[in-house]
Amino acid sequence: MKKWLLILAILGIKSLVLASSFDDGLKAAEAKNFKQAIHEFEEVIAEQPLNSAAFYNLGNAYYKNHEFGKAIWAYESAIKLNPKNSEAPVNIELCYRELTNGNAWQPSISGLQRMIYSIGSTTWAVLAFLVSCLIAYALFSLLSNKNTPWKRFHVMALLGESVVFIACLIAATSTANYPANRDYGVIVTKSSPCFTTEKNTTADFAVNEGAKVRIISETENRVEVELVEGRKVFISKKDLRII
Amino acid sequence: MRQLIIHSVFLFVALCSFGQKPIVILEVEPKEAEVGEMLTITVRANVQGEIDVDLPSGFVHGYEIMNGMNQEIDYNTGKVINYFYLSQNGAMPKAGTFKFGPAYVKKGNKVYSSNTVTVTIRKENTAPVTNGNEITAKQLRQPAFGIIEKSKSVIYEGEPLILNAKVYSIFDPSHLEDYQEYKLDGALDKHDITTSSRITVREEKIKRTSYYAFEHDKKVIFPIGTGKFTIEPFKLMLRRGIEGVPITSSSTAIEVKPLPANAPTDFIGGVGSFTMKSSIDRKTLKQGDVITLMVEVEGYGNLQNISEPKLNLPKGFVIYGDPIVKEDISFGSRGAEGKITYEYNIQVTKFGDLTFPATTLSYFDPIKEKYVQISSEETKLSVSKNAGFKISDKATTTLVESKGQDIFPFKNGDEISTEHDSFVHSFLFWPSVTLPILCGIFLGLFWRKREENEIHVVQKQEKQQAKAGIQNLFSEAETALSNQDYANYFGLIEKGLQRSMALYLRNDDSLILSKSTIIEELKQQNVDASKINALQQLFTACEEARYGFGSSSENRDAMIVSAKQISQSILNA
Repeated sequence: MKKWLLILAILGIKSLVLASSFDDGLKAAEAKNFKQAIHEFEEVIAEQPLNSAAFYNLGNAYYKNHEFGKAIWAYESAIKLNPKNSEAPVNIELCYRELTNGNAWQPSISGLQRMIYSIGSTTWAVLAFLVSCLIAYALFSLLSNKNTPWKRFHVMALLGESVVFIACLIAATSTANYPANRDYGVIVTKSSPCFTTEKNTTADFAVNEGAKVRIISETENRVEVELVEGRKVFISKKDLRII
Repeated sequence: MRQLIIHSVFLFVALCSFGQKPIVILEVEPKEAEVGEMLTITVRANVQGEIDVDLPSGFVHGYEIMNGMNQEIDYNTGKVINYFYLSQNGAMPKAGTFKFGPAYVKKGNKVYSSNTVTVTIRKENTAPVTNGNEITAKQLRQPAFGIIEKSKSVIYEGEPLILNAKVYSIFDPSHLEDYQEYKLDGALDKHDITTSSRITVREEKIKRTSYYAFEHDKKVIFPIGTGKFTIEPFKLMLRRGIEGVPITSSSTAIEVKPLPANAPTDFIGGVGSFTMKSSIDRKTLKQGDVITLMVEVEGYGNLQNISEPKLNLPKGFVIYGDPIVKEDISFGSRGAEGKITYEYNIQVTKFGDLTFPATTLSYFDPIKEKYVQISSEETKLSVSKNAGFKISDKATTTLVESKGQDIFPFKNGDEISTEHDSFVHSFLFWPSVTLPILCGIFLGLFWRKREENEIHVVQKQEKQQAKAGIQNLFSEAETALSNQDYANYFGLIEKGLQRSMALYLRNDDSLILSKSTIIEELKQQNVDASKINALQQLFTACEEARYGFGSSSENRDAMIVSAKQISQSILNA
């Protein structure tokens, strides 16, 4: 009993501390102390890496601190955790407007994916369960009655329900796995040298702050990425933040 | 009816044409071009007639000529105007300022003339680099070869790059086929300058040898990113009549340098040469009125990618929303050329004699290799007091902070994603979605088996009842024998046998099968031949006893025994 009370007390204190950091971040932002706000929101994110609002607020703090590449990364992370977030894409556009370095925002996911992910994996799982019940009924009807006037209807229903069932399963699993994907990253330094091979020491060209790149593989110091125009290059890990 | 409608439409169109004032318009695009760059000359007229245009001397006519008719609505009057048009392309071979037009439309004895258009033709100041270094000795040994011409080898980020394919051949080519364009990684923003598939061949000398040369696929490209880029070669099949030579050009490289650091705060991202004009729609107004500031950025370079000038206004002026942007841009050998007009709506919240500050912006000039700041002049405003106007604190704050649209505000509450701990990741997910399906399959199969068992039991019971019925027939036959009712006796034996066989063959003893059918089907089912023979003999004996000479008493007694045996042996088989 004492052990449980101790655990509950620790959890309570921890949530209070996190709530306090979040509020402190907001207060710091209100006082235009954006460096402090960044520190507070980063603390919240370290403890709650799935807190979309903390990422969004961190993006705002970075923006106000004129760190636009990092702001884009934070907004992208907020969108990833909450695809329904409609403010973050607008703020990203404003970041690119400030950067004026030729980069423009490219959404990581299509509109359809965004709609699917917005619904949530649990809803898709419940839908999959309901459709599996319908499939079960259609299978029961087909197997238990040899020749009934409804046989054709049950066959058609079974085909349709199977397609919907598979779609629901794909939607549920991809929605649940999406936040854990490490598919994209954002350049957070003013300019990041790009190397055509992993061990090259002389940069062939550079990409600008705010550029969104697709992650291909990660090594100790470098990350192989695909640029928006399709070129595959290696960039330094320190120049990149993974969404 | 159909004829009437067609005539009405023609009459309407004719009346529309008749009721219009004669209009002849001459248009030439672009109004600034380079020597050899294609110009499009269009004459539009609302009267139909013979069209002629005064063109400057030396104008080289192109091959593209189009004419036809279209309809436009005059939104001021709401009238439909029929325009007849003639469009032709061509180029000027020398630099200078040339007057195109007027165009004339001759209809009967009347001649209608148009406006004139002045076009400035520049020397090829951004002419692609064609030097001996681009052409290798190996290429000169080929009957035909290609190179990629570029306006510069080193450019700044955002600076336009002009590329074109150039082909040299020792024979006079007639046309080209299977053209695959040159490729530059990162060249997402590219625009065609020439789109014609025709080739214009001229003679050029390389190392004292004459070649037929032509240019093709001229593009303006705005590379994204900085560093060294390789331009992959183009391919084509150069034809002279039916003979052809495949050509793969050499590749080439360019370097894109980043813009110098410490860009001014009013840098709009422009790389090229730009001018700016600004104007305010009125200078005398009341407090709270909204004025319209028009800022026009004109020039060439990466005009299409510039951002709006950021207004840095003092207290007393509030910007409403984003500016309305109107673009008039064309792509040519100097990049994106034209003008962009930004229309800002600004509310004046103070009164008195105010000074509207000068608008400033900076761009990067790649020739001077430095940032250039340009600005408009200040404007004096006379604002009278408006007692009914109240200054909104919020608007004033926005005014001080905003240099355009601001970001969406901070969020007050947590929004924690639950996807990491989703039900989908739990061990219950897959069992819960597959269990109903498995249950459906098992229940269906179980139900089916149960129904099949029930049918089997019923069929078995029915068969037993039928067998009992047949036994009764044979018992009745025995009774008829003891009563010496022989006709009935033989009839009952026949009936008993027929019902037995119907039960065996069709599972239904109520069916009456003919004797020949019974024998035939028994043979088909490979029933023992001795049993079939015995059955056939019994049927024959019964028939003879009933309709012939009768039978002996021994035979009569034996027949019932034999009938019972055959019936049982076949039914139990």
